[in-house]
Amino acid sequence: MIPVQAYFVVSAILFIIGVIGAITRRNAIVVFMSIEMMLNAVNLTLIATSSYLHSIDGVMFVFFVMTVAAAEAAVGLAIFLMMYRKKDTIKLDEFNLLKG
Amino acid sequence: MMQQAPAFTIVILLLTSFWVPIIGMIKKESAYYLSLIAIFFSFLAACATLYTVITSGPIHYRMGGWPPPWGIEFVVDYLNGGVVVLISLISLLTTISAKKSVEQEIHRSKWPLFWSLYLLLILSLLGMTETGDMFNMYVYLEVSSLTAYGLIAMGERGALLASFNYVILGSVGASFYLLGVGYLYIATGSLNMADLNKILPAIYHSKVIFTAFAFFIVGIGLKMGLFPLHMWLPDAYTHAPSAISTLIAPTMTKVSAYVFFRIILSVFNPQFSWEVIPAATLLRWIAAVGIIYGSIMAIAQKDIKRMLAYSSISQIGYIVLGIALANQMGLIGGALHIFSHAFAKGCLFMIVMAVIYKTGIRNIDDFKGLNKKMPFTMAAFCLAAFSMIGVPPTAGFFSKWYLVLGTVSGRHWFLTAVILMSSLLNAVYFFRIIEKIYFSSFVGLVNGGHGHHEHHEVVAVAEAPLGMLVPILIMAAGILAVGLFNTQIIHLLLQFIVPKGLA
Repeated sequence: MIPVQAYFVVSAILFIIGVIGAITRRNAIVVFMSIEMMLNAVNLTLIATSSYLHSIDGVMFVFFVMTVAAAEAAVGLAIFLMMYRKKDTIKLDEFNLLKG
Repeated sequence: MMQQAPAFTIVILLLTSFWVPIIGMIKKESAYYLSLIAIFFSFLAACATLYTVITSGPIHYRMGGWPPPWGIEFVVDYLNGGVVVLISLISLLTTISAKKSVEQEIHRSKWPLFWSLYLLLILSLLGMTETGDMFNMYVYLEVSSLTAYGLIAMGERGALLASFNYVILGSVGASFYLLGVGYLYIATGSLNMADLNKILPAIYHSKVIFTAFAFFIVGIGLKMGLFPLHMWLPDAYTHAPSAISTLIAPTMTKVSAYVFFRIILSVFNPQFSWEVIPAATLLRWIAAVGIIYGSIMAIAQKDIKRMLAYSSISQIGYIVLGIALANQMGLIGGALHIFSHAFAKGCLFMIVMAVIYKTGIRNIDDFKGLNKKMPFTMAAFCLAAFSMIGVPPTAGFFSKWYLVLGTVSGRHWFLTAVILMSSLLNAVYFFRIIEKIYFSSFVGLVNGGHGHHEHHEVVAVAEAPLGMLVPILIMAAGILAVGLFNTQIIHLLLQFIVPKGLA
């Protein structure tokens, strides 16, 4: 039997990796993946808690979070696609340089 | 009927936002009128909600009759009843004045989608204000962010990058908030605000609660553009379509500021937020730096929308300062500042929208002699600017006055100096424009190139269209009303937020 704390530790590590990725990486796709990772880390926390407390709330929350994450990726990538069509690059630094 | 009012504020907008794109496919112009009618009825429902709260106390509304831990509960008390009416009033006025500007700036084929997202944004802001559940709050927060990303991206050149930056920062902020929710759920097994308020005091020294609190502050701070987390705000306000800047500047950051109040005062106890962890001390310093930083950056700007955006960062500092002072006057000042700043900033952005619509002017240097062209609009500009500076009897004076009283009664002399200094800086950047408007003669944009000799010709009055002018004047009247009736507002709504036994 794996203790519930183990899940929390794993999800905290995933969250931190996500934050670092979102802040430091300059490739837009990787930034989006990092943000998805943060959200999924929270999902892991919610599911672990839900099963530990024998309640169904956490699982319900996870469905909402998954929907939100999908919507966010859709909006973000749509905006990103428009930028790519205009500038022909996926590096965030170059968008800043070419601004104006 | 009156019992259902809190649900109506949301449901009317939700159903209309679904139908607007469908009906809009047949007739593009109908999208605007449908939205306007929906927002008007939502405003009536908000007024009915506030009336019920004032006459018979806070409302606990359960969606579909489900009991709180499973169902969604709307809790409307004195503070958020006021904020709901404020948000829906400003949305209504913005919608009325935005018609012409949207027709000018947004391509015709996109109107139905634009208005549909616009309704969703207003609905999510009202939802954030009314909800009594931490997870439900997250869902509304995400709906408001997602719609704002789309709406900002519809703006001029540069809007895409601004929106993209906001997508990344906003998503990171929302994830922080969500992890805070997750940790509260681990520690308590409940996410209802009233429940949490009862359960939490027993476990206040748990490290999980500290972490959750910190995550909430960062998540909401990002959403409201609190000083070190404001990076998305200036670009987003500057490049968004004028109608969207006008909607999100007075409402979105104010709603987040209200959520800040709610989390610090009624999810966590004030004793926890101010005594168990020294959050107040930290927030005081952040707010003070933010106030000065926003004002100084505003002075350096040439674009008027960008200047107002930086001034928003400074004003958010005032609201947070009010919370962080942790005394009666500070809290009342902070809460009153939500109202006074919403009116003043809404009025200023509406004026900018009218000026951009009428003349295309955005650079502050081109405001020369605009009083001859748009006398009523510029008079309203002065009034709103006076409120931002804090000249009596405008609303800004009274909220700043309560804040100063709060700093004095807390013996924070440095913060008193910060508020006074920031008022001076506000005066610098607003009088710079007022001087241009009233004391330099108008040199039209067309003959700006060869304007060597002084132009003294009479400029024809070309006032903003009535649909824009009336909302501007109502907002200006609102600034005066919040100022003159500030004691009534405090007695009716705001005095209840002060926790018992606080000096």
